[in-house]
Amino acid sequence: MIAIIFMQYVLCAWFQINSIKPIFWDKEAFFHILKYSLNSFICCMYADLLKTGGVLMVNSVKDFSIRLGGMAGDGVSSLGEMISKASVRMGLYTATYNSYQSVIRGGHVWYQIKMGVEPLKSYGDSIDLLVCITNDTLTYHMPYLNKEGRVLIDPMRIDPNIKVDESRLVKVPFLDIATKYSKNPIVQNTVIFGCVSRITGISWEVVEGVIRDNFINKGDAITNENLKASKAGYDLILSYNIQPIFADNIPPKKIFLMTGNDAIALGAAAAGCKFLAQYPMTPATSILHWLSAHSNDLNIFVKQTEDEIAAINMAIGASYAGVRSMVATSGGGFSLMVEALGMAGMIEVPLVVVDSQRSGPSTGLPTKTEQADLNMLVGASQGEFPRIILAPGSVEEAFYLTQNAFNLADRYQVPVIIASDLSLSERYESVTNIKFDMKIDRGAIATEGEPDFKRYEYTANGISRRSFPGMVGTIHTASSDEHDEYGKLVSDVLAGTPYGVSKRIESMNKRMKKLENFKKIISYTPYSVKKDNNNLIISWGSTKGVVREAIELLSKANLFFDHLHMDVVWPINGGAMLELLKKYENVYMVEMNYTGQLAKLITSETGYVFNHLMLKYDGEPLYPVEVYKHIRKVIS
Amino acid sequence: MNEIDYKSDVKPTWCPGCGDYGVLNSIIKAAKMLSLKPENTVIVSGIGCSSNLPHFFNSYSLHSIHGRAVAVAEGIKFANHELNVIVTGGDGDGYGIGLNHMIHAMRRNVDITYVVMDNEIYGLTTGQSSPTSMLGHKTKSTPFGVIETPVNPIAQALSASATYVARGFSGDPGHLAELIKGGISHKGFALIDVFSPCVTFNKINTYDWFRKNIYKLEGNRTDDFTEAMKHAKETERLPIGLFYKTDTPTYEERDLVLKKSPLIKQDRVDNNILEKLMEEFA
Repeated sequence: MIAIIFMQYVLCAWFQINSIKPIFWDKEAFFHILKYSLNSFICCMYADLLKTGGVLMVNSVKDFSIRLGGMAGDGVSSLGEMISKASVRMGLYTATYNSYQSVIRGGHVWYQIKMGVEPLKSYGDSIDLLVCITNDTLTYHMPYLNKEGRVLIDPMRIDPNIKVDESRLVKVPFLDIATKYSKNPIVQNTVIFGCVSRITGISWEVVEGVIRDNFINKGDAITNENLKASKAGYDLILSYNIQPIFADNIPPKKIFLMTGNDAIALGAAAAGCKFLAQYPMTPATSILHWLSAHSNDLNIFVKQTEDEIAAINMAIGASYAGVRSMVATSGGGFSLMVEALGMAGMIEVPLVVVDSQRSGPSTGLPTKTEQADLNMLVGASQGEFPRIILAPGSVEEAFYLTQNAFNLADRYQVPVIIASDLSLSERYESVTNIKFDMKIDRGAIATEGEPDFKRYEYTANGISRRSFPGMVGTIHTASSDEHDEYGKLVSDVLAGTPYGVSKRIESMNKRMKKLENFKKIISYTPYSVKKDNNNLIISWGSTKGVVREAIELLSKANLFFDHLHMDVVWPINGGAMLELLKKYENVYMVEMNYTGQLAKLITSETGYVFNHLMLKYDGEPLYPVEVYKHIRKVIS
Repeated sequence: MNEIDYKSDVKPTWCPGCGDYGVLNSIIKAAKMLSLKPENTVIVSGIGCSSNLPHFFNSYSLHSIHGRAVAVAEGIKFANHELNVIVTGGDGDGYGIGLNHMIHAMRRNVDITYVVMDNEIYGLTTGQSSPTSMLGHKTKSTPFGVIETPVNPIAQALSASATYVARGFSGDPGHLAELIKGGISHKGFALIDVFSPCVTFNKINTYDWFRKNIYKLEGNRTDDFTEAMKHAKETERLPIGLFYKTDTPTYEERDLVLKKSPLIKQDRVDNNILEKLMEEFA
């Protein structure tokens, strides 16, 4: 027995796990070492196993998915971000989904990362490597582990009650390694970072760079203990002789990693947005964070307000005074902004409003995703006024659509709403095509000193010239009351008089026709995998990539679908839409809500009735396999 | 140079005898004394009888929605802090639905002047109780008398860190114009609460009632917060005049971006700055 233990101790040393000292006379330490040694022994055996038969260890894989699971407070998302950052620095395309809860400590949170040598459509739905920081990660996610998938786990913390196939485990004592280098148990994350990096083939140089950047504000001591801990994890995997997933010959490319909200914030900055007013609300908050952090570099004024009502009213004031302005919120905050949105419509002040949707109604599931605000966005505020709703399908699209939103708002003097959602706003995606070459169009602006200036002039296209305080000779009142061409009230002493009635009609017509030309130029061109297809899937917003991936899966089963991703959700060009819909025998609508809100809007604009709706409202992101299975089921 | 005409070509639509005429005249007087440039002045209002005032004054103006005038005005000031931004409105608009924004604008010390025409009643909606209606006041919505303690705007403003706190009476436009002039000249948030009688729906707080119940503050120490608060809490007779004035930096003076120059004069940054920022995503 003693000989065996001694042998294992030697093995331990071989693994460079030096935290164990031969203090056999201490009972506690003895058992600690016994446990440790046994586990290390298993690790060693397993390493051999992988070396010989691990399917996972094929060098030619195109993509690889990792899922990290733990408790809130374990630093799961920080770990996910470090891995994702390292992945793009290795030249790998990367897509993520962060599943978290509205708690600061405890519960269960997880983080999905997909890496690939070719551009990815989505975060995917498979797991090749499951990283368990807590036991319930095993319980919750084991069923989704690929057949060849493996589990990275701390052997000290496997619950003996959970039955799991030992051959699928890659055991690393995260916490023991961490405590060797730091008093802070959270350092186990950098141990895991080292392990995952070695497993995937991320070079130590990249790992080191990411750690240095990550702890740049924490001082040398903390950076160094994290580096050492991470290196220990990295070297331990190295000693297991696991062949890395991705070879080191990935062609170097400049890949950036950002979230949908980062892209919206960056897009706003690139579009010359000067003013953001926001009240914190998940999942829109990081727009406030990013623009606050960079407000001084970008000369953008950022104001956290007392509520969303103040936010939108301030932004309207700022826009009236001449600067490009934006507000960002989620559905609950948008609900508070509704009245002022109508004022922006009435006084024709350009405004960009970001609604990052989450599961409702009311507080709903604050950290879960949904696309159920569309009805509200289309109809928000009393009366009728034109508005545009854009729905980006990827992080890169979020950047470009946000830029467009500012031009559209100025050109048509309407509120432009960007309908993002939690899934898009908070997921990290690799982007390769960010260019700052946007042409800024501020729309029609008056010249100073012109006689008889009419701010709300009745023009052929309904668009009249704006003037800003400070400009001489173009003084006017912008009024939320109904007004004439000059902005003068027709709502009190003139209301109901023949003059008042005629001005009301003319002013309504003027405003309502502003988007007629815009509507006409909206076109619907589906993505097509095969000519003359009979089947079409329509979706909007964040699910674009997932639907494309599902279409790929369906193609493999000889089921061919075209895909229409609607990035301009409102207005709808009814004529063009109907023409498209008529071309297909089967049209499937995929939406993340209960009632098929976009389907109903399209019906209202075309008369076309959808027979196939795939609706998901469980708060979880859409997965390609779900779409695939749903459609297969409908077909059979 | 011709004298600037601060009256617009729109005739006021208030009831004959409305206190708001006196307020409009006082604002015009103050503008004349300060030679405000109409093109550099913005009057913002909410909704209510008094909130129609911007239409009658010759300057840029934004007649916004109920209770939000202060927030709109803050946005205008942040976008271009070289403008004179004046907010006008009533007690329902400012001390009821909009009180939240007023308190926050005060603690920010945004350099705007807020003139509240306080008639202690809702006029445009034909006579309901307002946040400043006195205890016992019988209105259409309180037929058995008001049972809530009224908002004390002066004490409220003092406790919210407003840096210029005054009260005037529309029956004394000369005195009021001086207070408004002081508020516009003051760097920081200025509240001028104005007793402005509603001759149609408030039969209690009439011109005569105010004349009997008010007195002018004279010789008070306006830099003494405790003294200001003491006057604010007086109930026997209601003081008018300047309660408190203190010089603290404005929000615009403290904000890193606005410190550089008015926001509207700052161009979009060059691409090299954006490209440099991209590195954090690499």
